[in-house]
Amino acid sequence: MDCQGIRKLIPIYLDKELEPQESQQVREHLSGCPECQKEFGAFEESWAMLGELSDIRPEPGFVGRFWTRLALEQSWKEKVLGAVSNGLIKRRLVPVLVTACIVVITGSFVLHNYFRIQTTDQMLSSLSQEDLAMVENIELAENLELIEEMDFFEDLDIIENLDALET
Amino acid sequence: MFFLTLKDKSNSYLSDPDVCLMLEFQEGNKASFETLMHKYFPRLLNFIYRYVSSREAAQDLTQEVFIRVYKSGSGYKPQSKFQTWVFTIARNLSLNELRRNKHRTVSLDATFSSDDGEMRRQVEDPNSVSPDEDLLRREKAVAVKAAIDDLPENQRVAVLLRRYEQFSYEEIARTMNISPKAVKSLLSRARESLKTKLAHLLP
Repeated sequence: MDCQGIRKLIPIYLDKELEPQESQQVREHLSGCPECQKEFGAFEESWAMLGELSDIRPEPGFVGRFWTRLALEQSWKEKVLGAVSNGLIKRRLVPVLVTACIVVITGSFVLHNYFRIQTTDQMLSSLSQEDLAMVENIELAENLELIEEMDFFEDLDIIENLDALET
Repeated sequence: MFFLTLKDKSNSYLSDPDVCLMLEFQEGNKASFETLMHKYFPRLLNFIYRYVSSREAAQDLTQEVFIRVYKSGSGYKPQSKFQTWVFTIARNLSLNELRRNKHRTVSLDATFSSDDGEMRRQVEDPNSVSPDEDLLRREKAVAVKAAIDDLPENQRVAVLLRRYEQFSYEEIARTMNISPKAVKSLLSRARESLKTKLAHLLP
C-alpha cells in the first residue's frame, strides 16, 4: 500500500478499529516511512488537543430543578397515567387491590346475611304469644282452608265409586 | 429482580447496569432514575454544549433529555445500551435546536464560556506566540472549539462521541443510525479536517 492509502487508514488505526491485517500493514509502513510517521504524529497530536476543551458543570440543584420542571410540564392526566403506567398500580398494588376486592365482596356478603338474620330475630321477638301460635299453626290453617273449599259430599261420592272407576 | 427473570433472557442489553436501573425506575423506583440522572447529566450536558455551542441551551436541553427519559419510562423496552439511547435523544434534540436557530451564526469574535472562564473566539493567527502558558492553553481551547464547530454536523457528532465519550464505532453507528463503515468514513474525514485546522498549534 502506498503512502496515500496508509494515511487514510491512520485515523482508524489510532482508534484501534482496523482489521488485524490492515493494522499490520500500517505498522510495517510507518516503521520505514518518516513522512508517514510525521503525518501519524500530526493526527495523534491534533486529536489529543481536543482535550484542551474543558468540561462545563451542571448548575447546582439540577436534580431539584428537573423535578420542578417536570411537575410544571405534566398535566394531572399525565401524572395519574404516569403513576399507573410506571407500575405503582400495575405491578406493586395489584395484589393489594385484588385482596381488597376479595375482602369487600366477602365482607358485603357476610354483613348482608348478618343483617338479614338480625331483622328476622327482631321481627320474631316483636311478635306476641298469640301471633307466634298463629305462625306455628299457619300450615294447619292453610290445610283447613283447602278442606273448607272442598265440596265434601261430591268428593266422598267419587271416593266411594273409586273401585268402579278403576275397573 | 424477579421481574427481570421473567423477561426475555436472550436480551443481551439486560446485562447493562444502566438498563437495569431504567427497568427499576419502570417499576416505580425513582431513586434509580436519579442515579441515572447523576451519572449521565454531566456527560450529556457537555455533549450538547459542544454540539450546540450554547451553555444555556445545553442546560435546558439536558433537562429535556431526562424529561423524555422519564416520560418513556412506562413503555421502555431495552433495545440498545442505555447510553446509546440517551445520546440518541440528546443528538435529536440538539439537531432540532440547531435547525430552529439556523439563522444564528456563530461569530468568530464571539465569546463562549467554559468553567475556566469566558473565552474569546478568535481567528487563529499562526504567528502569534504567547509566553504565557495559560494564555496558550486558552488559545488552543478556542481554536479547538472553532475547529469542532466548523465540522459538518454528522462529523461533529461522531467526533464528540468518539473523543469525549469513548464510544466504539459500533455504538456511534447505533446512536447515529448509520453503518459502522459510514462511521469510519466520517471520523477519517473529521480527523483530517481537525489536523489541518489545528496544524499551526502543533509543536
